[in-house]
Amino acid sequence: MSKEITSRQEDYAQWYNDLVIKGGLADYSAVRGCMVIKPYGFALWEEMRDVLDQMFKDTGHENAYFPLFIPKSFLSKEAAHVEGFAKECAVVTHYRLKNDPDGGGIIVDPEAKLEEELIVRPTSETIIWNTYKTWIQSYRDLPLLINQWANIVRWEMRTRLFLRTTEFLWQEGHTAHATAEEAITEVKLMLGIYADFVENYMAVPVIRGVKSASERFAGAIDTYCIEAMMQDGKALQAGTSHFLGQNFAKAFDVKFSDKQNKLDYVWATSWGVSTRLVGALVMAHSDDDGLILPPRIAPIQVVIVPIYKGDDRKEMLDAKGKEIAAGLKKAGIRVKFDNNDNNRPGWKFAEYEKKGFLFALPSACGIWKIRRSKSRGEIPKKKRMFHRMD
Amino acid sequence: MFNKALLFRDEHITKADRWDEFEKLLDEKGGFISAHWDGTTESEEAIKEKLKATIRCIPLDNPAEDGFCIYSGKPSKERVLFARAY
Repeated sequence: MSKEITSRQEDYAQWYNDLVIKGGLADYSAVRGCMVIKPYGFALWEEMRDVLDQMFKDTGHENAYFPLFIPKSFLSKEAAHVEGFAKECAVVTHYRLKNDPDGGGIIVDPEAKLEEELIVRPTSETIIWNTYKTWIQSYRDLPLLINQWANIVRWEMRTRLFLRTTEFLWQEGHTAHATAEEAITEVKLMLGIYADFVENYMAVPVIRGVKSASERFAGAIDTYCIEAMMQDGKALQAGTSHFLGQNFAKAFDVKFSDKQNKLDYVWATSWGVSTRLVGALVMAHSDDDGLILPPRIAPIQVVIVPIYKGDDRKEMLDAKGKEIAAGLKKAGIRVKFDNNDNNRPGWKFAEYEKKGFLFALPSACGIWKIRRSKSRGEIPKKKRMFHRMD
Repeated sequence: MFNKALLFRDEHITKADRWDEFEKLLDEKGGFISAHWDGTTESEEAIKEKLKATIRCIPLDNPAEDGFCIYSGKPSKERVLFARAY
């Protein structure tokens, strides 16, 4: 058991924090409720992002990008929506700083007050549907299948690294359809993609369901979701997919002319998953020694650490290590070769165990073994191929 | 890895038919509690206030089952999943 990491039995919340911080995934920042995602944590997010992005593209979606700022009045256009999000909104009121004439340092310039305040997006339906009005005139413009990868701000009171942060990264899909039926099909399709990803890439089982009325997304007709279970027996919402009906189309006056030239409001969906999934991943599988990450999305699957018993072996083991690294890389395995002699092997093993790497130790005889720490999970089949090398 | 997590998850879905059972399960075992709900926000809010548990979802393909709401005792058509959550 690692002395650095609090055991789950002792304090589950602290265990999680220790894993995230000492595993090098994230750090607290100077800004309340906001985290710094460190390279290892960001690499994990990138792996997840890339898989999901491909799944979205494979189902006909395209990425675009909409503004970070939303005019305050836009948020109010959909009644349920503003009621749900108002209490979490960060607001920009001025557009310039200046030197305080009274010598107080830098201050907000009272002359630069915005005519209408800008909200930092808590979610982008309003700014997007305002734009969709200009993009959609007829059934030929539908379906509109857009996604964006972006950052979001929700001024949360209680924050937890990855699970609930004031600023977080996510993707949000916003689609427009000619019929309710088509929109609902899309909602279920995206829920299915999320479930597939979380179960088959993150190895976390989920229950697919609909939310009760009070748990629905503010402005949705129906919210579908995937719910996961963490090791402490608490549930975690892993993803949501919303059928928005014609609510936002009506709020922003987005109509289309159908094949019979009749005008109707457009049917909408939105769906999203966020950096919360990184937290879910950490919580679902890790143990008291460190992170355990499913191979399919681990940024580094194997680390090769040569152990030198004397300088004469160094060159040979380095060469052997590099050869193995190249071989693994060719087989599609994400490998790191660490022959950095600033740190002793003992330090490396402790460090990499926290990060969830599998170890490969090149040995003098040309046969190398994969060693895993006592509590690690299965070794994927591909790696067993390399178990013996003569 | 998935199977291990699945086993854990499946062991943590428990049915509850009485309020005291419901409370005990939430405090001692945790996980998802499958219980009847009358479909009203009032009952849902009351459960949330008293036990800090929320309705996580109504599972897709949920079997229809007549019963009585775990809070109000009023008629219910299906069970829903409650849990304490992040």
